Amino acid sequence: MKEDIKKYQKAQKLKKWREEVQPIPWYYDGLENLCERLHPEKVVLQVTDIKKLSWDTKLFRFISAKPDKLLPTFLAGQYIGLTVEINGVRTSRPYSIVSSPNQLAYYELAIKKKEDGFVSPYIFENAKVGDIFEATEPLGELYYNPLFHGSDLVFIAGGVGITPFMSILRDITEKVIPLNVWLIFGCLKEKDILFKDELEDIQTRRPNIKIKYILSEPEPEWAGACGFITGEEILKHIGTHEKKYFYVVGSREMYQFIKEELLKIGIVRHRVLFESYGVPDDITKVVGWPNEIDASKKVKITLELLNQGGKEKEEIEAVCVEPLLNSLERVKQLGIQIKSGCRSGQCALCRTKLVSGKVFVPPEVIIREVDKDFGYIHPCISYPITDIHLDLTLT
Amino acid sequence: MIEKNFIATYPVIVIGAGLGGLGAACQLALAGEKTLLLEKHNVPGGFASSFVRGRFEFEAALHELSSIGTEDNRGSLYNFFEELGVFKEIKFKQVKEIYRSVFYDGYDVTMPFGVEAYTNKLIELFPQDKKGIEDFMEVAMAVREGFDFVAGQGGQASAAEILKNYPWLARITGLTAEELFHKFFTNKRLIAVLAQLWGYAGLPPSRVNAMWFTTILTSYLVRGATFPEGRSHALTNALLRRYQELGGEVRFNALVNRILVEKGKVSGVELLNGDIYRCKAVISNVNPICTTMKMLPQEDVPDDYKKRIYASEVGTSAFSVYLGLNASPNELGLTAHETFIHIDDDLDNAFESFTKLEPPKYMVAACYNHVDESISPPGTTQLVLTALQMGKIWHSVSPDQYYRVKNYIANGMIKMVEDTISPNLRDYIEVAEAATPLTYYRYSKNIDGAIYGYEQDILNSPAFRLTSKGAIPGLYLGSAWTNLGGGYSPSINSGRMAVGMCLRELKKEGV
Repeated sequence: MKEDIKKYQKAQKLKKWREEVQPIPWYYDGLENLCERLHPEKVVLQVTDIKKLSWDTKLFRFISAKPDKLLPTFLAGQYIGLTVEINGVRTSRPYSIVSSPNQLAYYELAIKKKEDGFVSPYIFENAKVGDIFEATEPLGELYYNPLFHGSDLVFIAGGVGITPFMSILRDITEKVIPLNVWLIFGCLKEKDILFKDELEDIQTRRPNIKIKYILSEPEPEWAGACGFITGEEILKHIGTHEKKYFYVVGSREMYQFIKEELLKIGIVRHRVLFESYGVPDDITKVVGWPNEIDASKKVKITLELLNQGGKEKEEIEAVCVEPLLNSLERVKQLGIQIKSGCRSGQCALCRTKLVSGKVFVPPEVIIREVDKDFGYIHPCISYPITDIHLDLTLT
Repeated sequence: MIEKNFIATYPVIVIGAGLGGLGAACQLALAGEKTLLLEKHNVPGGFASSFVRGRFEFEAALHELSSIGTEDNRGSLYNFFEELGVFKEIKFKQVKEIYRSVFYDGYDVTMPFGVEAYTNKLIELFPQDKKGIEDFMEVAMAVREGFDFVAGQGGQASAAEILKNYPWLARITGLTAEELFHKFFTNKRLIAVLAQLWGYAGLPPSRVNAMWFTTILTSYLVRGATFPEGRSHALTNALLRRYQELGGEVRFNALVNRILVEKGKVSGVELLNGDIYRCKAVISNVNPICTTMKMLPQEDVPDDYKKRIYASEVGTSAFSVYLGLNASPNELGLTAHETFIHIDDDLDNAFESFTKLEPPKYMVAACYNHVDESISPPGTTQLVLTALQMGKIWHSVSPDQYYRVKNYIANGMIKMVEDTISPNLRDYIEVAEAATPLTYYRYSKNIDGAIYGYEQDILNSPAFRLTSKGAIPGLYLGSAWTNLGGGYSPSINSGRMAVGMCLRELKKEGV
């Protein structure tokens, strides 16, 4: 007993002695540097080069606009959310990084002009060397995960969906990673095949990478495969699907089709990875859309904003077939800036409190259960189907 | 003078909506104080959160919650939650068994809750140490009683009284858990099984204070453990909602840059965007070092206080692997809520592995489906592997090697599960995500990603710990770093203790 009490006293003394020791005079929080290099709050980019890839796609090269800030490391396959300001409207879109992750001197993004789009035609036509853009850190879950993906990979790309795979293929060839890859690249016509020369080069240099092109609307002189990427075509190219892991990047319509095709040839759910779906072209055609809602309906959006300590209420009008975030961004005078990255309901940067009203969310989007319970939504992929009340003071 | 960026005045402002901050905010709201809660992130909870990958929503941190208990067996948080009305918002589910212990040599036991059941099971496993086990459990329970007695006296109990009635309480204060064990038994396997929960202290038995160990063990055995339906994020959101319903105000995406001081006393806070709030007192859920050295004007901080906050070592961080599996727990051989996996009985060696960039030699696999069926889609399993790791070893990792190191350690941890309880685990993985000390740092801004605050060695046993009293008048600290130490319940209670101290002093000043 005495001995134990002595130990107590000894500890007491030691603690006192420790407190006497001179303190470290500066504040130090250890992992800040590494964290800043991997996950900076935002990245400021400057265009240094623009190259035409095809009739409707351009390749943009960006360097860090701030010489004291290096570009963050990323995993091949990830994207960045690029912010643009068009006529005073600030918005952002996700673009996969095309360049190799093994050098961080620059990022390259391939941007395809979408005919009736808002952002891509603007960048395609207007962006010039020297322009500065803000972007998010690299985000996204489409990358090679050595923990369970195995060594046999099947990449299925549709059109501009080749972009993340370019980065992954460059990574594999540069580092000579012992992986077997089967790439199936679906396009409309031969002129739409992006990076064809480089893909051919990779294929000749690395025998473990096998590439197949499938054109759905080929010119008569095309000698390769035609039609859609069916299960049959996939099996023809890869032989067996045993032990293989599948990545699919393309459009929403393509995902629907491929999902069924993969199911038909007996591929289990947990061996397929789909890139995020993005905003649908026509929300009223998405499964689950309440058909009784008139697509041209206008809804009233009430916003609570924080202004000089007081809460302020604003009302705006929006259409129900457009994501809430787009409607909010369009109201220039309010100067609302909601962070956003993926535009698919995945990255949760835009999480906002919904006080009342109803929104429609495409079925593939999974939000936290607790967000459902407590009324938080991701406005980038939520469609207002009734009048809406948002509390932006909590954002 | 009217400040340009002045927004509003509150009697008390709470910085940080982590568990300590939420505990403090709710306690203030119950006391009827008008309070503002400021949080830098866009969600409450700090570590007590969840995230979505594919079709899985992962519990980020909580394994099980102590100190809640049941209606007839109330833990230290039960009454608080009842008064707040938390039970109306969410349900708590009881964990079925305290833990399953698995060793590489094939030894595999599952231990029950309840002092008697647990003691009997231990004796059944180690009959030659029957006497030692019984005596040890008696001492542990005596310490628990003593602790309750001191707590009941509000810290006013005299040393003589404690020594007379609860001699063990005084005796174990200066002991490590191992020193205490060795008074009763020395069987290494017995100690490894009994000391199983040492991971929650962040230190092996040879270094953790005995007080912490007996308190946590008896608390689990007597009160059981629970898990909030809908994960710990449901708990933190429920706390926040009750706080708001009681009149509390909250602001997210509001990083507090500075604590403002006038005449040596706290007078307000300034946010990163320049907004200023005035107040009489600040309760900081931020770690004491950052609060003192970064947020306060340095000339106002007494030198001896600076010495005190640097006197203790920063504790461990963690490395976690979150797995979404496309098979049921039964198909995968995961039979318990928590399975601790050891390479061998050498716990110091296991701790040593946490100080290197290598796979751990001791870790826990939490399979949540046993306590909450709805945690993942039907037919799937949510499994989270966690080991401790010192955050500072990541300083030497360069950004381009980060993902490689991360995968190397995560791979080793998955292999440990495959080697012991679930041979084909990897074939069923649908999503896998790893969290390193850097991840823990990123979401908490705790120094080196520490998850339990200061190291809980003898020098940080409850008798010596940093209290809620901050560096200057009007500043109070409520987090895992102060008062009781790391963990969910201690953090919430630490926030509440800070409020107690704050309100007492405000009252004294006649405010």
